[in-house]
Amino acid sequence: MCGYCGCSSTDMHEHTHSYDNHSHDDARLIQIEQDILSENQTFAEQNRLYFKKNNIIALNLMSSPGSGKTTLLVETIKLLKPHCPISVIEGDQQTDLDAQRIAATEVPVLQINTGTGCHLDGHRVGHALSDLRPSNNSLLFIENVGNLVCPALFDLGEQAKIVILSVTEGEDKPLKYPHMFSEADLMLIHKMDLLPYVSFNVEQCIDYAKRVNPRIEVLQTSAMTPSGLSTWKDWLLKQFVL
Amino acid sequence: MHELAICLSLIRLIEQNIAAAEPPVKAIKSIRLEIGQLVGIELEALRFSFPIAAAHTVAQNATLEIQVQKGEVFCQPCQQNVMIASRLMPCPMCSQYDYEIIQGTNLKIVHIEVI
Repeated sequence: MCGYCGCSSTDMHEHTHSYDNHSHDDARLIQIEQDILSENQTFAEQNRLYFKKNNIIALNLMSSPGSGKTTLLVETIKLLKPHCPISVIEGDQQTDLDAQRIAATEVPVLQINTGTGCHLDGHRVGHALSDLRPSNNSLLFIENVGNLVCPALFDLGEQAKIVILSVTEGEDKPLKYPHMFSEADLMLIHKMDLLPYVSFNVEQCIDYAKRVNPRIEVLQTSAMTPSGLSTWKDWLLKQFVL
Repeated sequence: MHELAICLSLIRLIEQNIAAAEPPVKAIKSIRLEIGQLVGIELEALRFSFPIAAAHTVAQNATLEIQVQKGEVFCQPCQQNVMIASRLMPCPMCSQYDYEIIQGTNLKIVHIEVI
């Protein structure tokens, strides 16, 4: 049984913690000096170890709702399936609609419903891995809950964090949500096919993103045109080779 | 609102820390946290979430004491350390965001007062 949440899972997820117990003789004050996120970090490190051991490239996809993450994933899977095994963890507050769309591409997918939760965490992803069991030498997409705030704080053990910003959302988002953009390794400026119809300044957006995170990589993508996915496909394959 | 998740983690960590305490802990009077200005936690949301997470636990009547850790960054263009109160703010000297965080990301339980 999982000692953390009480579920019946026995695999992989033993949740062995090494928390120091600082109970002192003084019964009035107990010094703790412990990071609250250390709990999530422990699970994230277990996931990271699992990914490394099995050569799984795990990518954490984050964005606001409606940025086009799932459509991008569906088209990406179609492109990459001939090159490497792929699996997907879908995070949403409710429904398995996204998982159904991914399942139609015939890759293994697992839906996590977070209920009132606004983000995926290391523990939930650990359980999802026990159930999904991604193949060795594979690519795992973790589609986080649509939210530009909360997921930024929670390490899942992923190899890279990718933030997707569609051109319908406005170029100032990196400045408005700096935690998310400063954590990300890669930003996709997405739905580029809609650029002629909206007021979105691509150069300004890249400048804003680089301001909050000088090391962020940027790609411009569209799931609607074959050319819109080529640089993204190259980026993914490069991760896979490394 | 990830602050609720943070409060749930906080309660679990406290429960683990007091599990073997001698004499056994009957109740927690107060919890002292240190929260950095740059960690991305809204204190109002945290205070709102705490009673929900603490209900029916040993911490249900505990008060939350929050000590704020000041945000300090090294600004690349200015080549010096400056204080900022939020990641939403640019460097006050040059108005740019090109900085590395020196401190202000703590999210820590300092101590608890128990009876």
